[in-house]
Parts: sequence; C-alpha cells; structure tokens
Amino acid sequence: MINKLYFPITLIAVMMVSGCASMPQSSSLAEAGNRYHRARTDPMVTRLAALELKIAGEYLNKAVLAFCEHASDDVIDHLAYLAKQQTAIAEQTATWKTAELLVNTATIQRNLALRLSKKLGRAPKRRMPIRQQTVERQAIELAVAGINP
Amino acid sequence: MNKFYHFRPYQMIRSISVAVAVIVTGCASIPAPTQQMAASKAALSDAVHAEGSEFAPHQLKIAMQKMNAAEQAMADKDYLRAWQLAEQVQVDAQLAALSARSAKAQKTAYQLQEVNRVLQQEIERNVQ
Repeated sequence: MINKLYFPITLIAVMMVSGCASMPQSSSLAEAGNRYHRARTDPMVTRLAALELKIAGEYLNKAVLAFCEHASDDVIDHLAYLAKQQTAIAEQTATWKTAELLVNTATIQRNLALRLSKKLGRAPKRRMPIRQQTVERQAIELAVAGINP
Repeated sequence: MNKFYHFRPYQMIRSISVAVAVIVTGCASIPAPTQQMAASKAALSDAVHAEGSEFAPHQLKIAMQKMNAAEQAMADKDYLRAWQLAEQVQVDAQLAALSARSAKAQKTAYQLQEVNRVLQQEIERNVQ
C-alpha cells in the first residue's frame, strides 16, 4: 500500500513545488502515467525490475515537471516517451528474468533426468533412439546459449 | 544473475536533467550531445549483438532510423533535436535488446521443457 501511494505523493509534491494547478492533460503524459501505474501494480515487475521501474518513475516526474513549467509540447512528449519506453524496459526485464529462471530450472531438471535415465538404462541396457539424441544435443546447445546469451 | 544487462540509468537521467534545465530556462546554445550519441550507439550495437534483427526487428528498425536522424541533426548542428533523438534511441535500443533476450530465453525454456517431457517418458518406460 505504501508503495502504491509513493508515486502519487511524489507527483503531487512535484506539482505543488512547481505551482502546477491541475493534473496534467497531455495525452502522451497520460498514456505514460497509465502504463507506469499498471507496471507498479504488477508484483513481477516490482520484484524483478525495481531499479528499471524507479528510473521510469523519475522520467515521469520530469515529464510532469516540464508540463507544469509550461515547457513546449515537443519536450513534454519527448520526456513522456522516455517514461513510457523505460516502463516497457522494466516490464520486459521482468519477462526476461522470469524466462531465464525457467531455463535454469528446466536445465537442472534435464540434468537430473539424464542421470536417472542413464542409471535405469544400465539394466537392462537400453539405447536412446537417434532422434532423441539429436533433441538432447540441441537442448544442451540451447541451454549453453541461454546461460551465455 | 550477473549476466543481466546493466544500464547506465543515472547518466541518462543526468543528461535529461541538463536538457530540461536548458529548455526550461530558455537557454539558446546547447552543446553537441557527443556523449549521448556514443551511449546511444553502444545501446544500438548491444541490441544488434542480442540478435534484435531476428527477435525484435520492428523495434530495432525504429531505433536505427532515429539514430540516422540524430546523426543528420548533429550534422545540421540542431543539437536539441539530436539530443532528444539520441535519448530515444537509447531506450528504444535497450527495449529491443531486452525483447530479443526475452524471446530467446522463452524459446530455450520451451524447448528444454519439451526435452524434459521426452526424457520423463523414457524414464517411465524404463521403470515399467
């Protein structure tokens, strides 16, 4: 709850300090603000991309400040764009980290399964079909590529 | 975990603050954004390295077009425009690189899960 309140409070503080009478009406700013608030309420983003989200919040504050100080539309739109893209960076960072965790888990599972399958394969001896050998080789290559992108 | 892409956010924030200060105070002369141009080029090259052209072609194309426009603005000595475009290139390129890395990791995870399914079936057959 404290986290959710953090941004509006900063926003209001920025608006008060800069003498901004009303909430920003710029459409690019509103879009950036909406995206940012959506990301802030996504626990995956707040947990896995806290720094990226913090930067997005700073961009948004700057955009609001520029609006309140009657900067040109060009400047407001530019800062709002940076805020929007930085929010997308935060969201994408969370997606990426989640996928990397999945890769790591699946790699561990595969290694365990391979060991077990080898053990079981000893008696009676059972050769792996060629097709599966190929699939496994590809998996190992992919896992290595995933670990060192 | 240390392989995750590291940004240089505070450098970016600082440069934006300078840009905003310059604009808000109505200062006429803006220095050539050479550092920002270099940072944007580095971000773009990272996106190419992350196979952005295969996994995030649209985003990468936009970033490249903006980079060309930024270079043109530099040549025209329109430094404010160059600055804005270069800043946008940096976030666009970072997003393209991350999208590409996400897509690759998701593909790898899916394929590994498929392999695990096959291996599990193999183990179950051996146990029976």
